[in-house]
Amino acid sequence: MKSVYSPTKLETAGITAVFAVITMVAISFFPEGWFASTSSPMPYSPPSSTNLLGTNDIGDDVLRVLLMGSRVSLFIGFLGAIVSTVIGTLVGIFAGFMGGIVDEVLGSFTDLFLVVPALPLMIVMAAYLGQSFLNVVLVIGLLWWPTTARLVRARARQIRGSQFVEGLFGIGAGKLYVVIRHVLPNVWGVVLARFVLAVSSSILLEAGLSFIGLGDPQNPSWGMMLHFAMTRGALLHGAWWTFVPPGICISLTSLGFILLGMGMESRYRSRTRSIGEIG
Amino acid sequence: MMRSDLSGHLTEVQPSPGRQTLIECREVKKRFRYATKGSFLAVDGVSLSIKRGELLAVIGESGSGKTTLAKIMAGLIQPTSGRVFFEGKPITSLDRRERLNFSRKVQYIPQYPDLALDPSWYIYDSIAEPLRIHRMSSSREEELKIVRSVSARFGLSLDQLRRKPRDVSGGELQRAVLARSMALNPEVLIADEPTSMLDPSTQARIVRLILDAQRELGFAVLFVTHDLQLARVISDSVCVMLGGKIIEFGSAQEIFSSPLHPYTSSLFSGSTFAGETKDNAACPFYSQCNLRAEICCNSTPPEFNIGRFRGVRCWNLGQPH
Amino acid sequence: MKTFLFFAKFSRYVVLVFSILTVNFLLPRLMPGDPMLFIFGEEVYGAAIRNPDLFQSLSSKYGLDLPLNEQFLIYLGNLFRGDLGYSFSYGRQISEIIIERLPLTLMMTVPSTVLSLIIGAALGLSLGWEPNSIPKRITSAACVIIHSIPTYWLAMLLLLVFSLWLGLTPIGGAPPAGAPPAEFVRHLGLPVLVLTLFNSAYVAIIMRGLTFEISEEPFVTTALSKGLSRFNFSTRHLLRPSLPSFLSLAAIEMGFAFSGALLVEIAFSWPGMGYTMWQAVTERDYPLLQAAFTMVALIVITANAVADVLSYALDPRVRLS
Ligand SMILES: Nc1ncnc2c1ncn2[C@@H]1O[C@H](COP(=O)(O)OP(=O)(O)OP(=O)(O)O)[C@@H](O)[C@H]1O
Ligand SMILES: [Mg+2]
Repeated sequence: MKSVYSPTKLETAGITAVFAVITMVAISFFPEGWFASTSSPMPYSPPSSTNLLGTNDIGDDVLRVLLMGSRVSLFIGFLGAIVSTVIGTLVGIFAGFMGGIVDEVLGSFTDLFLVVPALPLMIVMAAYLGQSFLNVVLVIGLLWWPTTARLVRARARQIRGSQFVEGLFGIGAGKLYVVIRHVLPNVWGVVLARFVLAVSSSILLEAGLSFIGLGDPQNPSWGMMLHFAMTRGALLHGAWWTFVPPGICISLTSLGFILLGMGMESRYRSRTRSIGEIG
Repeated sequence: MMRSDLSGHLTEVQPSPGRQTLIECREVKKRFRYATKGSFLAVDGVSLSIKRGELLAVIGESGSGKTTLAKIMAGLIQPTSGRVFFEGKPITSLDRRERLNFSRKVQYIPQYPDLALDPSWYIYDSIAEPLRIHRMSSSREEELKIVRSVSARFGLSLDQLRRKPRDVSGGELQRAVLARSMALNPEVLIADEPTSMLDPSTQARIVRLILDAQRELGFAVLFVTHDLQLARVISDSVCVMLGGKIIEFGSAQEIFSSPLHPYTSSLFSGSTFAGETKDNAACPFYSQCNLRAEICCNSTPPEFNIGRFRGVRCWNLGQPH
Repeated sequence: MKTFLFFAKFSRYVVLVFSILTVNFLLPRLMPGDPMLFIFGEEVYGAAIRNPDLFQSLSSKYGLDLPLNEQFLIYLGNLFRGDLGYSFSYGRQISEIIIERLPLTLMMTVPSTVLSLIIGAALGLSLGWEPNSIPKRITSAACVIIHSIPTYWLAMLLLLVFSLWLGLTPIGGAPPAGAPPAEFVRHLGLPVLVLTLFNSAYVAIIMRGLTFEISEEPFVTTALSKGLSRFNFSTRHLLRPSLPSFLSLAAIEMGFAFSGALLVEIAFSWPGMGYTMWQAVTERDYPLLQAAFTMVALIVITANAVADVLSYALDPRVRLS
């Protein structure tokens, strides 16, 4: 499909946003005094030259919390995306390539899973597992794979039915060989694009979970900042500087990855148009 | 190619030293079932053998089951009934080693070259792949040497080998597919309309390349085509397919000089005749045949053998009216 | 065949509901730790630990000393009698809480879903048709941007501006049950706006893709060349064929709308299912959390089943067979 956006512009915008976040993460590793004042006893003091983004309910520098939060959000975004993409790819390839009853079962399982509202289920799971970094990653990773699985499965089926795979069996290639050497490289484009999109989703999901109060209190993320702003009265105080910046960061980061992923997807689609018509 | 004694009606052809049967199928049928309902009999009781070194052409109109037959002979799809033999053994009961041997010695070239190679692989790797699967080269250098020599035979430069399928022309891709099938030094090449997607001059060049390679290396070719002129020029023997059956076979010379089946003669003369159409007539040519009789509609004509390698499925030849 | 397919499709949803109930049943019992904690919530668990009599009576009421399969039957039995358990953080029957609060969630989600399906479909249709003009590109980009903004954050921003700074809308909460409708509208204005904005952007993105795909098909060129008017054309040739896939996507989107609504409710302190889940999480009131989740899941699954049936009835390919 020809993209509405010119892919290069799209990807440039995405890459710029992603780089901005990576820069934030990098800055967060500098010694604390470098990027924010460490002492400020006044809660809810508005932005000033000492506290560029003001302070929050306990007098913490918002910029500092924001920079530290970038690590958590991005890290969970990546880890959650890795787990879900690996599961989705394995399920998708297995179902699409084995075909028959395996495909039937895995395929309808995937379709069913898609129907379950993901965030509420994640909330329940996370509430049971308890608040920790790893649990958030697990909950997102274990529940966000069906879309990937569905796309990979469709692609793997296409490849499985294509002439060159039939020919490969003809010259004596084994199934595992074909999966590893031929199916994987051909689904790789889908997988990569899905991965980038999954990073975006993971960041949003993590923010949602943290907003509802299920994030790791030891590692406050951007979503957690919104949670505190909501529950501890920053909104009612009109302390906009405590919740406007994290919201912008969440939106920009997820937008950046979405743009990047969409660019990759449309590029990939136009490149494989002819193979798409094999099956 | 045929010896001149046409006296005996031998059912089993004695394997003469130079002409031993490599692949043979007996009474194979292939029925495709559709997910919704119904099914389609694409190949309907075909027996055919490919002998060492010969060039056998299969001609027939679109949908007559040529591709299906070719794939069955190459072991790519399982027939619904009937069996395929390789060097005298049914291919379903080959053991691992024999199966590998079969997949090395019998090479299939699909109808559409643009779908024959993995689009994400470099052409070089695709050509070298059969060697790797069969561990035919001990080192990278040896592999390069073999790939180079088969590619050179089909006029492919190393530069073209370094591209992916989408970056070469259809003719070049077809040659790459040929080079790949030649890499294992096969004994049978099953080529399914290898030239149908190309322009006439490229067609001629590719056919030339196949014939040269065949003369030099001595493999047998099953050449599927619907190009009558081509079949006449290149083949030793010819099978004519219609509606999933072989309705006539014989040496190329005989078929072209004196076609026996009304369908074959209509192919050559280009004349058509349209009678009332009957959906499930026993003879697939029934509704277009100007010589048809009642029996043609009701019972399938058996194969009437005339001479040692000549057969036709037409009631007109078996039973004078 | 048709009815068979229909039931096969439908039985999937029954299986799904059953699996969700099973997971709900198993979660508290298989988690590390005392299942009593999860089944009664933190507060009661603390009390029960100190009071062995209470502990005994509670665990026998839920059959916690019985084998799992018998517990499951008790669980299902309670469920069918509408007994969702007791919420100790509210000191009320859970079913009462749900009956009171579910309408509040529907008040928010139904209008915004309907609005966003209409707006999103119309927008997507026009965006997907000749999508390369500058205004259309900008609109498409805006849709993507809106879609990546967390709804609850947008809600917070709107609250800041309209309630806190301008004082136009209430800061949150719901009017009492008997309040005049105008009061509800005043409270619901912002939440519905946020959800509609977000969901129409999403629907528009999907619809744009579908329209674009269809507009590339050859029949569209034919239809246009026949001189159909733009409106006729887009309803008959763009909307009609994309309707089945649109419906099933819309159903999945209902799931997202609900997820979004849950969080938006929290921002507006609107005491619907999302707010309830939030409070349950804060209070560690597991039975309430589970009941709220089950309700939300049931609604979303039902929406999907309905959409499935509708798209099944509308799909010309299905109707043919
Ligand atoms: N995988 C399949 N599933 C169902 N039907 C098939 C399949 N492959 C072939 N057929 C049907 O079998 C019949 C014979 O097909 P086949 O490809 O063998 O024809 P062909 O002689 O090679 O034609 P062409 O000259 O057009 O290539 C056709 O009617 C076709 O529709
Ligand atoms: Mg064919």
